[in-house]
Amino acid sequence: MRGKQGAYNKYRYWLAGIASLPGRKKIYLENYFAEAEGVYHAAQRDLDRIPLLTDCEKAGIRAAQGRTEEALDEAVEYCALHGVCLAVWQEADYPGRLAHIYNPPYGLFYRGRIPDWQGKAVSVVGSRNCTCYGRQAAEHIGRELSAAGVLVISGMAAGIDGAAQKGALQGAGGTCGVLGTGVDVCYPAGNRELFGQIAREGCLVSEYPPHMRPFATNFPQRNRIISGLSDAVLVVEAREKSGSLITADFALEQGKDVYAVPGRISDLSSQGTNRLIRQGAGIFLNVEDFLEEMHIFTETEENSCKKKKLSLENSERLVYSCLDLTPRNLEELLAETGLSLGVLTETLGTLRERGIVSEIYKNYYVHSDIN
Amino acid sequence: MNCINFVVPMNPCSCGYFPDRNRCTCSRAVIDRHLDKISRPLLDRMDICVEVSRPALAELTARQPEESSAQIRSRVERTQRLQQERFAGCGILYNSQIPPSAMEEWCAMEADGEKLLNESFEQLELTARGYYRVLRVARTVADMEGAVRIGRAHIRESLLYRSIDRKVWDWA
Repeated sequence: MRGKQGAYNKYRYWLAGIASLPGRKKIYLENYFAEAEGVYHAAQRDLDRIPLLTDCEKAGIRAAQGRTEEALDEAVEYCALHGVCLAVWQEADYPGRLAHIYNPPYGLFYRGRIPDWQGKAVSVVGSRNCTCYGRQAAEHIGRELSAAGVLVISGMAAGIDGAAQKGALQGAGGTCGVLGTGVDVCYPAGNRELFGQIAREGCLVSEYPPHMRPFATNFPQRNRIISGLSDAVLVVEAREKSGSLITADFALEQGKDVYAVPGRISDLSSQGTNRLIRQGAGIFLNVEDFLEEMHIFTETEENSCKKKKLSLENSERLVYSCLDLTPRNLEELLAETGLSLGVLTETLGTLRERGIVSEIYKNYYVHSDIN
Repeated sequence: MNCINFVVPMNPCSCGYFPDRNRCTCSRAVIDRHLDKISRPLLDRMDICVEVSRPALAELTARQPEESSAQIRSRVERTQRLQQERFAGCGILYNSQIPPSAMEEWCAMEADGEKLLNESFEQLELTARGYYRVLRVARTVADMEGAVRIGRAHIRESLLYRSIDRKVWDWA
């Protein structure tokens, strides 16, 4: 366990774990009662003297005060046992950027290595129901940003978020997942592998205490931390009504840059991002431009984003050129290339073995990478 | 054994438009739930799975002569006769009935075909049952062409018909 006397510590864990109280009020309460322990022992009439608190919030505090000292000890022990730490407001590990947003979290529970909060950080967010184009763009962006030493922040959701973080794990910049659940709860379940990997090699943070289940109301609130932790928010794909747009709104409120990856005007999954651009968001074209605009200069060789030269045979080139990031099925390819089934499947096999084409669904093919 | 023809249609997702993400609004969970209605062991027993997309109007109203059902029937019957000659006196009629013990005898592969099948076994995480089924379908593909040994192209084609038992729509 880190710092301070154990007793002091556990009340902070307790205060940080009250879900019904906004972060800024927790900070206010701690100052008001001098320390978290004071809040734990506060009587009803003490709380009544604080005009800031609503009846509902007071009831929430009273309910939380019902937890015994032993239960508090156990909660801290659980955290220590599972590698969960707490960084409270104004402590060294607490990200400085968050101190300046409206309603900062009182404390952040985290697992894994704490990243350098002073360094450049970009959040890459987007829909859960993404297209193949969005998923590949996200993974590409995550990988390239991380390679340039940028910390990639996202929400660990299915779709864009997860893809960006998967890409980011491959680079030096690392990645930080901001959760709407406890840091020991894997949500969605399909992300189990990524969850474990980020806990080991990156960092998972959450405003919510361990065991917190994925309540729908947690996630919009979580988004303010995502944008608050970063220098810029990059939306890869979003429909007209998407949670990612909430993150973009928070970013604007917090004075951060908002960028969007443009999509085709006919794609539902890009309507939200295209609208952001219409409203004045930055247009993301490639990682180099983006880094330059963000005043991030890297020493890595420049050509990382250039088109790779592929040496392909005739039929391979033909098939490759008929594909892009939109899944095409075998029938369409047969009609378009005019090749025989045998030659086409053999060619697709070779392209897959070389890793430049993937079969993402039975008999549906796409380019493996943006480049 | 193996004496029924089991033919069944299925939508790719609840709304039927997947994987066209512009029209399909199903979430990953909805799609998974939809596909989970058919168990993997049952899917594993399906020899041939093909996707049928909505035909274009031009295809429906085309006046060009197409291969008639009678012509297709004669092709199929020719292949069946081939099999009956091969299996004469063995108590089986069709390729689907070849027992694993007789695979080497009746389903001899070219070296490159065998290599492909072995790679696919790992890649597609085929079951033992799946492995033999791919091979039996490949035997039929080869028979349609009148080939004696199963070649790489036959294995390739057979693999295309392998069911969608690998439910990876690689999203996240």
